[in-house]
Amino acid sequence: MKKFINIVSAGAAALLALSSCFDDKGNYDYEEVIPVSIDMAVGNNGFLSIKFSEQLIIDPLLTFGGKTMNASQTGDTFSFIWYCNNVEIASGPVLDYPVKDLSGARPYIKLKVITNRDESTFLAGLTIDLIAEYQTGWVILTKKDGKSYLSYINPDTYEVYADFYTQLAGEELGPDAQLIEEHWSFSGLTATGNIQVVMSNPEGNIDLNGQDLTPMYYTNSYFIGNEPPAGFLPANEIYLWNFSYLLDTDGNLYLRKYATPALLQSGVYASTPIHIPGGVKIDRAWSGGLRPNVAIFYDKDNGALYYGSGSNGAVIPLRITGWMGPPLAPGAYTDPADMDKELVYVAYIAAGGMGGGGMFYALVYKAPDGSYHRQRIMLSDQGGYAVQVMVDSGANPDFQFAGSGIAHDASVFLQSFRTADHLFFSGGSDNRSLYLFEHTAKRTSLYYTFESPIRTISQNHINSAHTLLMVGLENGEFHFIGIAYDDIVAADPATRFRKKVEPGQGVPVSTLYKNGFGYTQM
Amino acid sequence: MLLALTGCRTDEIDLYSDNSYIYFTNDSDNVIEYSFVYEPGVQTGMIPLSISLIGSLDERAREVSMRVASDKSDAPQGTYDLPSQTLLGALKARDTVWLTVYKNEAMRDVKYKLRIEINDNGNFLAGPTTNRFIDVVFSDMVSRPAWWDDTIVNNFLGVYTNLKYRLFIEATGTADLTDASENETWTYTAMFRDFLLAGRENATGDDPFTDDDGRVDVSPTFR
Repeated sequence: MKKFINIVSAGAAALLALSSCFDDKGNYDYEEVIPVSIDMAVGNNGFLSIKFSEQLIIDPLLTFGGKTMNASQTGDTFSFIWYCNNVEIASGPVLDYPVKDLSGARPYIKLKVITNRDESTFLAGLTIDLIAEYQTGWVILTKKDGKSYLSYINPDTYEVYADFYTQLAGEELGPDAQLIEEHWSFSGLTATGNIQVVMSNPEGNIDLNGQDLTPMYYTNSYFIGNEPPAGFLPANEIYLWNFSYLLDTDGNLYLRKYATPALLQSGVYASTPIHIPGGVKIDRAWSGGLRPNVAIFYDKDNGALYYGSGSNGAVIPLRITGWMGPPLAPGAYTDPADMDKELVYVAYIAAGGMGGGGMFYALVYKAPDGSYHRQRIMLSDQGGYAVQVMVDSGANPDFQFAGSGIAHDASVFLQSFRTADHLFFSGGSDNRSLYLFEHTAKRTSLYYTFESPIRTISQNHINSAHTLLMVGLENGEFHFIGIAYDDIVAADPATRFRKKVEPGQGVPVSTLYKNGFGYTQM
Repeated sequence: MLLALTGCRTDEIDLYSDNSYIYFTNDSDNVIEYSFVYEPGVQTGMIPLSISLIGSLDERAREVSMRVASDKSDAPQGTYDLPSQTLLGALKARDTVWLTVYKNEAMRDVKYKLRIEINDNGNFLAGPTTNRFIDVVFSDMVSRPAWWDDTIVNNFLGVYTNLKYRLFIEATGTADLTDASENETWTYTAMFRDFLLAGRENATGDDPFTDDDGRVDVSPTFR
């Protein structure tokens, strides 16, 4: 074998030596391949959100040989083949294709550009996020003549789809709707969230399809044995990652473990309430943010807070375990386990908004003298079995931000999702004023004044490109108010006004901005 | 010889005569078992005994002769009641007679047997010999059900004991998880866990939920 290798090696060396003697006189055109870069949709970083009912039109931008131009301007320089999830759907420089005909839940559009001269090939791709007709937008719950109405306000055109529930469900919503909330499944980030309508009636809460707003589920059918407890009336429902809690009007909490967290509704509730030591009844419940794994429960009778864990479904008393700063003397703070004030609002502050790990909350209290206070705390889950509670004592942790002349029982509060420093609330004479409290500066300022009392405040503020409040007024009007940086620092409050919409559906009860996809919440 | 033949003939159903026959719908071989444990809180149980007719319907309700066979029964007086008058309803070919049973402490350890016979009377002859009596066994006893398998032991309810099963039924209102999904089993176990927590909190003195195997609780891995 070794001998054979030596013979082959010698032959190869001889060939190389011979070839070096040739002088190639051939007449070849040695033009280099010119690279082509393709931008499918300028500024979208490989993703494009488009409504299901629209036409997908892409005229890609090509850069080659020092020139940049749209594909439609390149004449016969190139050939184009378009694919959707690897199936050819079109040829030609411009893709003009109905979105509804794209295949797959999240279609991937691929473009192959072929240089006609030398058949060099270049590829680019784009993921399409299909937006249902009502994927995003404002949803309002109003009440008129004793009846509840659900309406939708287009976020771009401000067109109103009034009383959509009656049309889509084929029946009226009735008088019992209390609250609307958006919730998501907890493994499919690309899934659209549903809208929960909390209904204080025997049929229970209604879950609306997040894409087309039609009713999908009735919560009361999710009790074990398909039988809710006798006299059960829902007051709220909190969806966490692995569990959901259902609060009834008697202060009982019911627990469900999801059979499949990827589904918007799965698993069955126990037909007996969770046991909370001491016979505790829950007055109100808050979730901890947009895609929460934490619930905060308020025992008003005993002035105590409880922590609901989305990890194991436990309900744990909140007891101070430490301080973010020097320890405070009793009286200098409000003890979440023994509050001497009434809790009126729990503001989840996006993680990192106050620095460090854990989950941060601003608790808004009403003191017996009618003044309003906020205290900041950090919660840290200890495996679902215990929770660390750290009180922010770095500054004044129990700060009075509004006297009784400003905030009062009719006040509504809204913590900004993305600007941790900003807490908006209504108050003043007839509750017609919108105030801004800045946590760090401890400053309360008048932000805007309306001609009718404020009933609801909601926000489209998932990122810096969305900076709107919607303020629902008792006269049935909805005002859109800017909260971008320029709005915050504006000298003239009038410049903050964007738009007024009059759906004509009565007095606002509960409102939200529908954020749509789960991943937009991360 | 003649007498013997005549005796055989009385056991047969003469379909061509005007006689009406009444019998228990269930074969006598099928013992009816009833346990109070499956009906938490119930002190008085009602057991349906189905009777059927061979013969003509009648526009009148007709009395059926039914009695307890003392020599084949061991249920003490006071633990049961048969209606003083049992009837086949008007124009009915099938009806139900309700046997009432009363729970007592002894039934936690003892099963009582009651044999109820149908006899001839002026309205009916007793029907087929295979259906002339029914045995009813009633108690307040529990035993490990087939569904309480290793999965239930390891992931949900822990080791089986009679007291635990009894308390589980009381807490959840269900005794049978044969067809329960994993999620439903989780929910029932959570209800049982909270039942134990509440009971212990409300108890004064010793732990109210202990048995010979120790403290009654769900599986330590349940969460």
